[in-house]
Amino acid sequence: MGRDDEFSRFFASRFDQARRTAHALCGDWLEAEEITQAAFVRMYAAWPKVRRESAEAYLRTIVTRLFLDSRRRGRGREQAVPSPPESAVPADTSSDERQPLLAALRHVPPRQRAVLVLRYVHDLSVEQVAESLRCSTGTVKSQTARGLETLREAYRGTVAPETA
Amino acid sequence: MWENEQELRGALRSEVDGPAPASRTDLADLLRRGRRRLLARRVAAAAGVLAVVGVVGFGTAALGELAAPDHSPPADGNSTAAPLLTTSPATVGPEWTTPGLPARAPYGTFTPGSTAPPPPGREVLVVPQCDPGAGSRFTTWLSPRPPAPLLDAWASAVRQVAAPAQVSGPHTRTIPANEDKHPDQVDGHTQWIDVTDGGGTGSVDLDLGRTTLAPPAAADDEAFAEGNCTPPRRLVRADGTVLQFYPVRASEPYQSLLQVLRIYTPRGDTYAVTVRNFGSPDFEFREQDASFDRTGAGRGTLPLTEEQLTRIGLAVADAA
Repeated sequence: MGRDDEFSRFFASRFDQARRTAHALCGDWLEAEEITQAAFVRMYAAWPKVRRESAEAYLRTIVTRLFLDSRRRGRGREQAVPSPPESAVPADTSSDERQPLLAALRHVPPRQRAVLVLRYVHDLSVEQVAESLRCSTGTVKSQTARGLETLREAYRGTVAPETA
Repeated sequence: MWENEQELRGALRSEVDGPAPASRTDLADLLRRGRRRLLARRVAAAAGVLAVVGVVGFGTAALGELAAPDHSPPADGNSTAAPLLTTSPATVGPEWTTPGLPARAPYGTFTPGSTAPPPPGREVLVVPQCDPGAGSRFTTWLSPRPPAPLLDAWASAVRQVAAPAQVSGPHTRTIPANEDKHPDQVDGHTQWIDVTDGGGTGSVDLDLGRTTLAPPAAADDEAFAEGNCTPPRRLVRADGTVLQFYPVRASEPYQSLLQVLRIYTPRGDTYAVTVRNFGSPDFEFREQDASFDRTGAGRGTLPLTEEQLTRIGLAVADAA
């Protein structure tokens, strides 16, 4: 089987899940699509070196790191005033009220959010998350605790019924 | 509210696996991008070797051709071929130096997103991308309105250096402060001037910020703030003002091209003069939420050369 054929099969079987992971991380379907595309493009370039049994984990790691990179770059260029080039025609593609937990997740800082998604959506161990994010297991544990706390507070705000 | 982590896991997965819009990704396009990236990595690797032996200089780097305006009159709307390369005597003279900062390793090259790719027929450029890190850690870009004499100097300089291209008057928009959310915020101001020649319309933008650092330290701190991989070029003037000139940057949407010259004054004022390959025809201002919608791809190249941008920057520095 040629490189493109093999990669195409991997793409067909994994793209949707990777896009959903990206969406859980960034909260926007358009951005999620672009993060996932970029991840697959990177995978294609590295495909001969990718071990097939770990390809899915590798893809997940790339998606997570691309998301974190985008947030780092965004913060670096953050300005209080928008300039004309800042955005293309925007579309409201964010999570809606039918997904209160994902909406609450967007209130969690990016790195803690990544830890929560890897641990609770993908069921990775602390050690696996640490390897994926290139940090210590202690960091993963502390980020998990802080992320959960923020998520709980945000979730309460998202679903709390209005009171008189 | 979930009672334990297992419940959270179930709830989260349920939402992640919930309804999703149809994917727009085309496998054939993705494979093409993958092959391009492979090629780009090989090109970047080769360029890196050349850079190590000192063959590639900032002023004559491959990206020089991006700052290649076509100043034929915009009479019939038909663009003509842009010159391939421009030299930049204003920024490669002996007074301009490169700070002794090591170049950064690119994490990749610019890749257009599928939602706003370059127009058909426009080549996707191989532009190395680097992480800007913390960006401007000691500079705030609250963008108060620049002093009138400075605005005049900026507009006058653009008119003079861009000739014979058509130059608009300054366009300005005010972005009201959101004091509820950010008590320290002030009304922001953004201003730009359109430059039109046979290649289309681009623009020159002016931003004002404040830094808490002395000019050389601020310039060092922001040496890679534009996502550049090679160090910027720098000019230190007798009064202590520092000018810092960055390589061309490509960004989304549509493969937007920008080149920035930052000016750090001893008083702490920081100016960013940015040449862009798009202008007023390519975006709209939305009054209801004081924001900009980008609607057009702009021209293929920047409307001014590095030398022209430098002369504008020097005029702004004189007036600052």
